[in-house]
Amino acid sequence: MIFIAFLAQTLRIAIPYLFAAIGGVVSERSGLIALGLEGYMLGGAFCGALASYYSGSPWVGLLGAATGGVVLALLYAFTAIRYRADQVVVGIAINLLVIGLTRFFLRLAFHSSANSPRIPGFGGDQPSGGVISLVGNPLIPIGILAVALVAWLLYRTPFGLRVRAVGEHPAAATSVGIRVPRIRYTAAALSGALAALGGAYLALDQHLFSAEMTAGRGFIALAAVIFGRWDPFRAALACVLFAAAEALQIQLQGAQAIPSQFVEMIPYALTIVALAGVVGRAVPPAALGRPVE
Amino acid sequence: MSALIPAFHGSAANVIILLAAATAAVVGWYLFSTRGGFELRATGLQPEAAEYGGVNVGRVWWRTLTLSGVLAGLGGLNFVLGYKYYYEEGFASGAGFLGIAVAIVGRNHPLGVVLAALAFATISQGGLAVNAVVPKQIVDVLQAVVIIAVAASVPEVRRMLRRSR
Repeated sequence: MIFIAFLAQTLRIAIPYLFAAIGGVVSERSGLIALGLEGYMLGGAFCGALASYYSGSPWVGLLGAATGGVVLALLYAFTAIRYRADQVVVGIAINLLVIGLTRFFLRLAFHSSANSPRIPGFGGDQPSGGVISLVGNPLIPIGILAVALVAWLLYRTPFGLRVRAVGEHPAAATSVGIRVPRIRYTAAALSGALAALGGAYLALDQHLFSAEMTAGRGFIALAAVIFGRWDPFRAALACVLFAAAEALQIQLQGAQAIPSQFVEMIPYALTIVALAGVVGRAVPPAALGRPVE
Repeated sequence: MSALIPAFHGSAANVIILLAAATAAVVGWYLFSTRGGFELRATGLQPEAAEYGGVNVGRVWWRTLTLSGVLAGLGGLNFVLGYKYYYEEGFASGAGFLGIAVAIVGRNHPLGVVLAALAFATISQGGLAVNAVVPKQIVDVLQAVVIIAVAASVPEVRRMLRRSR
């Protein structure tokens, strides 16, 4: 029974990472650094909560979240592509922007600086955290399906081939008639929508939005992208690994075996190890972070 | 600080401001007036060319990263030793990320960085002043907009300058 609780906990923690990480894979494969994932997630959580609150339907909430994520990602892509801005700087700025915007509109919409009122989520009024609340949550199968779908898109469709070509060698892609900016905008929009769904999962699961509720999950997802060497399946595995470490820590809480801060370090420590070339070489897309002339 | 300049009475500012200004000056001197600084800038512009010119690029990177760690570490000094006198979890609250932005807005030049840091500090402090009229969170939005605007305009302006020349 403890084992089932552990598995359920792992799944619950992994799903938002999963959405954001495969979004990150798409963005980075097209050559756009995905530092804004944290911002897309937070923006998605807020737009999702807002749409769900006013419409009364979590499905509308998902739609709102995806819209918010796409808008943010396109803003990022616009400055990075059209104005050749430094992607790291704009990515960080997007995160700051979303923290400010969500807190600002939280005050305007709900007159609170901490959290929204209760919003409709999936699975009726089941208390979140139990195994039962997982069954009624359609985002879990959607998330797992999305991994396969993104992998298929990247490796088996003309669009995916173009995304990878643009990320490796934009000049060569241009010479064979691929419109590089258009591919990058599309990839960015897709990554924004996916990451935002991950954020919306958090809000819908907890039945409320609270300020800065993503708490660095976007950065963990980015760590999973790099640890998974820019491949959707391996990135998803990395997400599950990171989530399992967190779930284990929650299960061990009574035992006081490991300080929780050490578990929080695991994703980042593993990523540094991976980047240092201990487990094979991590080779990023060749044109990652480079604007197109 | 208020002992030196009475006008600072009641503010969180302290002697570390002087230390910060002096640090910026020293970094400026190091970057532009010493052999080490020249090697650093050459390595940043084109590592292969620097290596060819007799610079030990690996050693420069070690030296530079150590120095940047020292300088960023000093950044935590103000809050812990100059203001609160105790360590508080998460006290930096994104100051490091904002620091990257300040470096870019300041065009990677010590003097520019000082000006950019003052500008961002003014925006932050201004948020408290307008809080009665607008939620002070608008300040975070404003800072982000400034960063995005500067990051987006820098390559554009540089290209225009090149064309006019």
